[in-house]
Amino acid sequence: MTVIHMRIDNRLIHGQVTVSWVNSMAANHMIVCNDKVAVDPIQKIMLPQAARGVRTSVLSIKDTLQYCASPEGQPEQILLIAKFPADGLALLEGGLQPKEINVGNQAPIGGTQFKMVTNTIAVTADDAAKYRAIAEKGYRLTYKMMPSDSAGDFLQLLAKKGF
Amino acid sequence: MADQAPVGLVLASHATLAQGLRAAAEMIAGPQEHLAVVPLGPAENLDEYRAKLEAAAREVDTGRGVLVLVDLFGGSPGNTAAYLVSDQVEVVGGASLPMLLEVLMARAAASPDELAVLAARAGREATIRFKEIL
Repeated sequence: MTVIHMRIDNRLIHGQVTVSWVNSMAANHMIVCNDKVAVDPIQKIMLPQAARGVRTSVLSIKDTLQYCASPEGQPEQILLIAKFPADGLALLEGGLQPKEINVGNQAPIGGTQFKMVTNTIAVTADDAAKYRAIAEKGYRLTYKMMPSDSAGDFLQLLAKKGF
Repeated sequence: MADQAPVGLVLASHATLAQGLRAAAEMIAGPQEHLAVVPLGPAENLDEYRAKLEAAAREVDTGRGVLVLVDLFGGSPGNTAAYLVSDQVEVVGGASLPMLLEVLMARAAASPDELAVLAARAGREATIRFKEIL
């Protein structure tokens, strides 16, 4: 199993991720997964620069699935960053089997009907359905900010917040 | 050479560092015009942040272009500022007070690219271990 951790975070790569999570997971490769970001020439240059020395790829969903299944990807310890819950779900539907899934940040998107379920995670009704679909694939979704935080159950939190 | 209108300045950062840099610089160099501060809040959407940065750059531009000083190359504000780089807009990461002060003193007489080179050098040269001097 190559993807040791899937993080759902629409800030993609930032300090928390590179400093705390990469070390704690002993990841040797970060993959940022989202179809739009994968064709953004600026992000393809900037994101690896933000990664502080950890090998970083910026790939579409299809290319992520292909890479993780490839002989090159198999022996790696991959920290996968899915931009949106939709990306996470699409990867699981494509056969990816990360060891664990954590919801990091989801900044609210102006114009959508969102609710802040924590001070860094915004959820719409559509997001909630995606998170439930992810959990139905056999995952206990957590929402830790830092690796050392206690592992709160994200679906329980959604239920508490009315989703 | 007579002073022209200054190059516009945008300070971009996580949290309130940008405001802090402005306040500290103005304590030393007096009130500054054509200078905008664009902080990134903890739950802020990056598309909206980019729109704010672009608006700020337009607001401070006197016609001579803009220099954006951002706290961290590779952080979210820096990643977003990357989209503003153009013929008229330079971006430098590693924003610091020494860097900002150098830029404030030079911006009426320099072009954005000259300022960017100066800013990068000033930032590096200002890092001093006191024991090497005392």
